[in-house]
Amino acid sequence: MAPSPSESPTPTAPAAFATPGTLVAVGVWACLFTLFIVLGLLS
Amino acid sequence: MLSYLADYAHLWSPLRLFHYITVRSVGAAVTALFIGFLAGPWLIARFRALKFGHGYIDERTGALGATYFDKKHTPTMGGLIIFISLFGSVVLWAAPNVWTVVALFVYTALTVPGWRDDYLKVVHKNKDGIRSWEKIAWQSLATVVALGILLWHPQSKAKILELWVPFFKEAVIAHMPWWLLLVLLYLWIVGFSNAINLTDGLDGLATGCTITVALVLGIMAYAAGNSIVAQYLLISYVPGTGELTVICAALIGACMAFLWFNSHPAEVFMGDTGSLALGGLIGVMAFMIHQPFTLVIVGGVFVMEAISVILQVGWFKWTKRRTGTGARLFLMAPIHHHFQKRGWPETKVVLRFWILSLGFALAGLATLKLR
Repeated sequence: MAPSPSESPTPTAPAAFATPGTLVAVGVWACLFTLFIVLGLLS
Repeated sequence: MLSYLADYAHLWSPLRLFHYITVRSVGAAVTALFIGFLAGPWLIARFRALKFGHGYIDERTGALGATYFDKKHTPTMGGLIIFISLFGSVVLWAAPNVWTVVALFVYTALTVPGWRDDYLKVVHKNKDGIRSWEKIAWQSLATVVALGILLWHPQSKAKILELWVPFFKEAVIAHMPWWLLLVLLYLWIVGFSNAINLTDGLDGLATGCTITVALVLGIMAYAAGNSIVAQYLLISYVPGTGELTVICAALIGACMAFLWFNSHPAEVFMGDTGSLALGGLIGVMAFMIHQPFTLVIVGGVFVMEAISVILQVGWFKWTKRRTGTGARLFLMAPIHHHFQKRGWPETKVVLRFWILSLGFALAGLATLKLR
């Protein structure tokens, strides 16, 4: 019996999601967010 | 933060333009659109490379499975496109104040559980995503911290305790207890998060409806932040909330860019990364401009979708307890699937719901004058 489409093998994602580029982007974002919060709360 | 350039208008007069909310709102919308168009294709290609599709068919879709089979490899987590566009644009164009900080904080705090939910679904193939207690914990944390900031900051602490309802010329409660505000804010943030999450079931549906809501909220924020307009319309004047217009404009730009890729047949879904955070953002902004109940009208499509699920589940449980067999009010819930099951093509459902959303938005806007 053919497997139903919902039981067909699913692709697995590579684990390499946290690349150096991603980490740099998150770092820049965190600095900007912190600056925005500090300026906003001091206003 | 470009608003700080206006302080140097005495050196070069065109810099005074950065003082105007209208100018910065246009800039924010265009910037968000631009970032979205740039980041969208790159992120979608990356999601595809990482195989960030659900990879399974949700059995709850039943007879709609054939439609969903085509979508099972469409990457999700597209809410990141909206997040990057909106965040970049807002940091650039909005003046930092307590209102914009709280709005960005809630948006970020709800993007995290949404992202984790999608990550567990697409990477670990966990159909249930994050545990419900974890989602509730994030939503509670976002609400409590947001309220804490609003009650602590001198610019917001008195104003945030006023409760306004449509059609009334004055606040119905001038100084509500903090716990009542906490309950209401939590209900709005969680309620609209989940409502947009439920609406996000068809290509472009949640995104299109969010654009109309953001448009109306932007107009209302401008009115609430302008003493002359607020006095003329007999609505609450909340100094500083005009800056939320910039956030609404950035939201419109970001959603327009996302919709470009999310339109049928979708190249990407926003996933919980987008839906949870967008709901929280519009919920908290409505509270800050004293229009929480107007949001129920303006976001009528989201409310309708949520109510359809509540009614469907409630009716099923009630009839099962009384007769032993559960009956259904709709062919399927949320209600957009009911119409699909009645044979409407997906694009027809989406377009008609957009028309409804526009109608709700205009009705909500009309409440500004009916006082």
